[in-house]
Amino acid sequence: MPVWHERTKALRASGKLKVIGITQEQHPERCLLFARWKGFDWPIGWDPFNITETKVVPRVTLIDEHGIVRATRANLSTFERSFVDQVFKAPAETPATVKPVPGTLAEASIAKKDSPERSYYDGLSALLWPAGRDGDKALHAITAYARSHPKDAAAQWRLGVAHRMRHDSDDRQDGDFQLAVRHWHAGLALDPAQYIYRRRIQQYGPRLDKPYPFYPWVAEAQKKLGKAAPTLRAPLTGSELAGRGEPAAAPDEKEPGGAKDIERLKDALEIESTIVWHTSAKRGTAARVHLQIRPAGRRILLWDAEAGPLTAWVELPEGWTVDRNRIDRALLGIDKVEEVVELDFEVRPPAGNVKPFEVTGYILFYACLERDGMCKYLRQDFEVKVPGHGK
Amino acid sequence: MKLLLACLPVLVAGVLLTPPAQAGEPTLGQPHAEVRLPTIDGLSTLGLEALRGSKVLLIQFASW
Repeated sequence: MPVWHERTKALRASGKLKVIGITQEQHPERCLLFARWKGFDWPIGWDPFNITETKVVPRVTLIDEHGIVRATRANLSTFERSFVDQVFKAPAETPATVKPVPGTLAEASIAKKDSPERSYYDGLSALLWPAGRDGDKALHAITAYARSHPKDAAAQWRLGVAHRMRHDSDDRQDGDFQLAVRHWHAGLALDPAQYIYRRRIQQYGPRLDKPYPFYPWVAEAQKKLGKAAPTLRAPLTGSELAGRGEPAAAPDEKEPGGAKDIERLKDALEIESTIVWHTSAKRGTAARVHLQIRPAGRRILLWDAEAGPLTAWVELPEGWTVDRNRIDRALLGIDKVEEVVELDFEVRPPAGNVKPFEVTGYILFYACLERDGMCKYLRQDFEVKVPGHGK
Repeated sequence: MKLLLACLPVLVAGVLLTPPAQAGEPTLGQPHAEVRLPTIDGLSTLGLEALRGSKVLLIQFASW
């Protein structure tokens, strides 16, 4: 889009053209970071639920002064002559209100009060404009509508979006991310050609399902903007930075020395797992496992970030493979006591095997304990049950 | 949802009652469906209606 931004600069300055944008991304602040980095000074709307029912992006639409669509795939080299310089006649009649398509959000928005359709619409609106509104009530309404409309692809997918929103909020509940993935898959299964639905899953999925890394530009943008960079609500995961053709992370297959002798705790960490399978079973059955690791309040006083990195060691049943057994992750610092550590790795079953399986392993970490304030090197084992593909 | 609430403040109370964008792919020669969405900075609302009388170039994109 930077090319359109540059190409329309003079037209915007002269008032001959208004430019606006819409993005379907889950996290608006990422697009805001991109816009500030690129100098976009035109307004951009946030459409995480794909209320505009967009099938594919990018798309550039030209709309004349009477609100009539003049191009749905604008041409960079001809749009000024064929659109900006033209004078379009007003329609003979004022366009009647477009009748909403049955089953769409537009229809729900005009449904009578207290109907499930209206509650669904109100729920989506509440999550878009949340100030002073009840997010849990909104999620319940969206859930109820999706359950009563199991063949409505958009309703299934939007429920996933709503769960991911709660996952990124202070009110997150265990399983929100996995529920998001499940409903995104349900929406895509009902509408396999929906590019927006597919991309949302691929953002978190295995490498071979990725057309490109999604956010490789973020670090550069943050560096350039400095304090002007918006805070990212959700940290970038390894899967969002991994590209399709890139090799797996550099292997460091050495198991941490002396791991067996390190003091083990059972409930020092809360470890939540989310599994994201490839969007197409035909193209491979690899899955990405996401781990979210946070200190359990009662046992750990704080991460001891200065002592060393957190290390995860991952083991799979014989025949199954993982792109890396060992992951080392530096922690942010002593003042980030509640830092959530996000790790992800890719697992692949033996050919043709789509049965459930278990990933086991352990986390080694430096932390100071609540009980005596002592700072130690500790270990906590984990076990992740991976359902079969499509489950 | 507390963080979400904090991140997306609404400046205009009337926005709460405003429908978000209407559904549907744009069709050549037809009116574009009304669009009402929060902006990515959470500070205002984007609407096509307010731009009536101007030529508009609408870019739908993702930063990825």
